[in-house]
Amino acid sequence: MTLLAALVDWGALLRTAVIALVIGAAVVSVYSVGLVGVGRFTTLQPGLPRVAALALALGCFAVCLGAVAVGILLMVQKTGG
Amino acid sequence: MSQSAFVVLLVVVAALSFDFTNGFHDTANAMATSIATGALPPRVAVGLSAVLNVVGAFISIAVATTIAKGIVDSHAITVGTVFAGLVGAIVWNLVTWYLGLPSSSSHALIGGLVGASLVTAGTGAVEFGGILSKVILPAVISPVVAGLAALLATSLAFRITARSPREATARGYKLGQIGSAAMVSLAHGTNDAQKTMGVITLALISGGLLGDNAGVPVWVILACAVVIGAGTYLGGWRVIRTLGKGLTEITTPQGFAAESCSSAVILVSSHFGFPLSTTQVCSGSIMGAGAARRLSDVRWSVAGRMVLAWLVTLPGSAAIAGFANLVARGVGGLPGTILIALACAAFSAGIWLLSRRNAINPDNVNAPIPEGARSPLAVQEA
Repeated sequence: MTLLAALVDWGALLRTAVIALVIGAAVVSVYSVGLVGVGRFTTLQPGLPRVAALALALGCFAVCLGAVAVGILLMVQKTGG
Repeated sequence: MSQSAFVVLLVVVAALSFDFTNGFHDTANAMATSIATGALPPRVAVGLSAVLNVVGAFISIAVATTIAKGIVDSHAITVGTVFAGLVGAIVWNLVTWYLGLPSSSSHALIGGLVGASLVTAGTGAVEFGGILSKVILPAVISPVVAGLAALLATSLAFRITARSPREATARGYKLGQIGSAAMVSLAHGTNDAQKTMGVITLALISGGLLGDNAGVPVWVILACAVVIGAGTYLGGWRVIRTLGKGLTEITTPQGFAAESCSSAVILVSSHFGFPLSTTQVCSGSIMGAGAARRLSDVRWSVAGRMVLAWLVTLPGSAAIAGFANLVARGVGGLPGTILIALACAAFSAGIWLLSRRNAINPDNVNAPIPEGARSPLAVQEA
């Protein structure tokens, strides 16, 4: 255990695991909410709720595209470690 | 051509051969779920993955010289050691591909270099602490984290879209799957082609053909990018079938969740400096996504064989590389290296011929697995 404690920064490892878990689950959830918005948009009659559904969908997909852009940025900025 | 230059040439050929096996072995990581759910036709999927791997290889070459850093003492590495290490990795990749097992190409390469170094310079050349912290711990933790993330994400996706029209959401998830699989392919290209670039550069420096502090030559970047792309395009259909059909029957929300969580784990870990295997992360995600519907949806016998393959990849490739190095040194000089090269080529041809007896290809990669079959490579006759 002492050897492991000396070799591994457990705090950083735990932080990395939690961040990855939260981001993964968040992106999938936001995209799913976007799909619900699209579903509502296609089934509702013209009116304010339909516009709100479209806005919700567009907002969610914009967040997902932002996550993709951040991911690509991380790849480009990768440093040898 | 001098004898040492010829040996370096053999190393370059072996490194590019490894790069090729790395490409076709790992196509499944990004594309298995998209092919299984029909989000992309098989040939389009491997084509897209190939292009993104090539693009990824050009995006960043930062990790190119770090493959053996902190694991093997670079002063103990000779050109012959690198060659034997590559032979160990190639043979391991081919055996696991034949068996349809998604094992880590990076671990095979590291294992190969470790095994060959042990024969060349003894235990003093290997940094066991580095192996523990850079290979073994991430190998244990990353698939668990990816699996938990995919399990949570899939459960949330099912709950959120429970009242939405199923057909419309399935179409939306298929589009999302294409995007998330593309991210995994791109991330794979930024990681794995660089490792081969690093090995070739290491051999060129060891052989005196490049200066000690030289960067990666442009022709090396170009060759590695094209070769990993070609390997990816050929498509490791056997591994794709295991991950896409054999591990669990996957639906579009599960495929999207698995690939998105794989991307998140790979990119976040890479950003914080924790090296990990794309293969293990993607396999863990698929298992997690499968278990989110019902635990019994996962074929645990297949998962068990896969985990066993992960456990033995490092010692297995190390043993093959160590044996190859021992034989090469026993015969001595150029004849020893040529003998190992010929043996490796003959073995590769033999494995390819064996695989033809039960060929998995774009036409049968999604065929149902017969009832009671023990191997996911078994194909139900139409």
